[in-house]
Amino acid sequence: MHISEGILPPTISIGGYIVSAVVTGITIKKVSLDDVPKISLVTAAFFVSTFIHIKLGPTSIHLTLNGLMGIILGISSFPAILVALFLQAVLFQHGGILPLGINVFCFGIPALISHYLFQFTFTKFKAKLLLIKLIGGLSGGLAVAISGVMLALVLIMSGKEFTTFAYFFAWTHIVLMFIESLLTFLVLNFILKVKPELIKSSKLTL
Amino acid sequence: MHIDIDRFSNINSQFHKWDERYKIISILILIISFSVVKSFYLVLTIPILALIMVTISRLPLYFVLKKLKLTLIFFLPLFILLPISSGGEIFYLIVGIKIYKIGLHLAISIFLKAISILICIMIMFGTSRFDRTIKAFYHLKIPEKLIIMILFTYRYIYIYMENLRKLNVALFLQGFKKTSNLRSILVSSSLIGNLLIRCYDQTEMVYNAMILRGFNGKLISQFRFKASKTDLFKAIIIIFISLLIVGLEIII
Repeated sequence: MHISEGILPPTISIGGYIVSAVVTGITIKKVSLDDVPKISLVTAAFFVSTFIHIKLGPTSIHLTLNGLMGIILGISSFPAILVALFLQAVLFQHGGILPLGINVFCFGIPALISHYLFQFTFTKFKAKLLLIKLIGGLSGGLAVAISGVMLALVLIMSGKEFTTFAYFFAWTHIVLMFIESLLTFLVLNFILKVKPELIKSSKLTL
Repeated sequence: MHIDIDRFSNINSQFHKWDERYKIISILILIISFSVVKSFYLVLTIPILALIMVTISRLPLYFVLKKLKLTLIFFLPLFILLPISSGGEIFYLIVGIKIYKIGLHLAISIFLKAISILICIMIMFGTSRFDRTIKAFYHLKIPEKLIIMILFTYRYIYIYMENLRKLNVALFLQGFKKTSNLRSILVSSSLIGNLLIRCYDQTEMVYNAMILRGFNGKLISQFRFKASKTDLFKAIIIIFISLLIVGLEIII
């Protein structure tokens, strides 16, 4: 879930663009030109993966996967999230162009956090596969929860009328956290079983 | 699922003929002016303006409305929660639930503003080929790496959508039905893992194929942008309307 068009006041939208532009500038500098096509392909795969709906009682939810994106793409997950959210706004009218800066910041920073958390565990406990998967799952869930809290804070900053909506927003993300954690764990389990070099090679995890 | 926003980019209209660089800048200014609006009466007029723009652009109305349909679902929680939680003057009381005036006004104005802005975005991207619009962004000094990323991702989304469709057909044929149990989540996770692995296998091949075709990280554009006086004139009209909206907002 991200903030839609029409909610944020222009000052916050512009602020979002400025902070996102700074982080994108820093992260994209570290991406070499050779890696750009590869990162784009993985971004496309993630984009399509968010169409996979998970049934939850009477409703179905769609995944965020920003934690997993951080784990697989590393630092370049930030510009990748920018591209994915831009395309989502333009092709499906989800989110929007004006809140794009804020949305990218709120999803991109948790992706970077989960990347560092995962990388730290991976380099420290290389042999303990179960622990790596567990921390991976945890960081996947954590990323969603942090995104939810950050978006809720932005909503509260936008106006006190949004407070209840912001709480609702944050709580849904905290519920989503558990499902996303489980899913990230299972996807990591699958990848480490079938093609471990996707995680272990340093080609994409910059 | 149809994701092609530029399905009707071959129609002939004033928006279709407009130089994309001018179109992007002008419509962005218009969108910002829409977002500034707070006065309720002005909020009621901006969707009319957006609909007039759709008529001029000759994009089919069913296409625009169909694209908006999904977005409306996302507005539902906001629409329910805002009127009952904003506080302030009570507008109506239904079975003990207080509906506040401020919240109701806010929900309606957010809804109308969002719809108008989304229609403008659709006009911005729907009246030219998508790759051409993105190349226009490059001419507006957006970093080259980002432009290449957007174009590549856009291209491969179609391929992976097809991959996902095939995987779903395979699952269906094997009798898989989505329910809310652990097995279903397990299958979904394998589906995601499968997509990622297929794409990872492809990256190396695609990259090598690109090297063979002479890719050196530079964006080579087959499109030439040439602005005429009419393009500038159209931009001036749209920017004038935007300034008028902001001016009216300040006065009211």
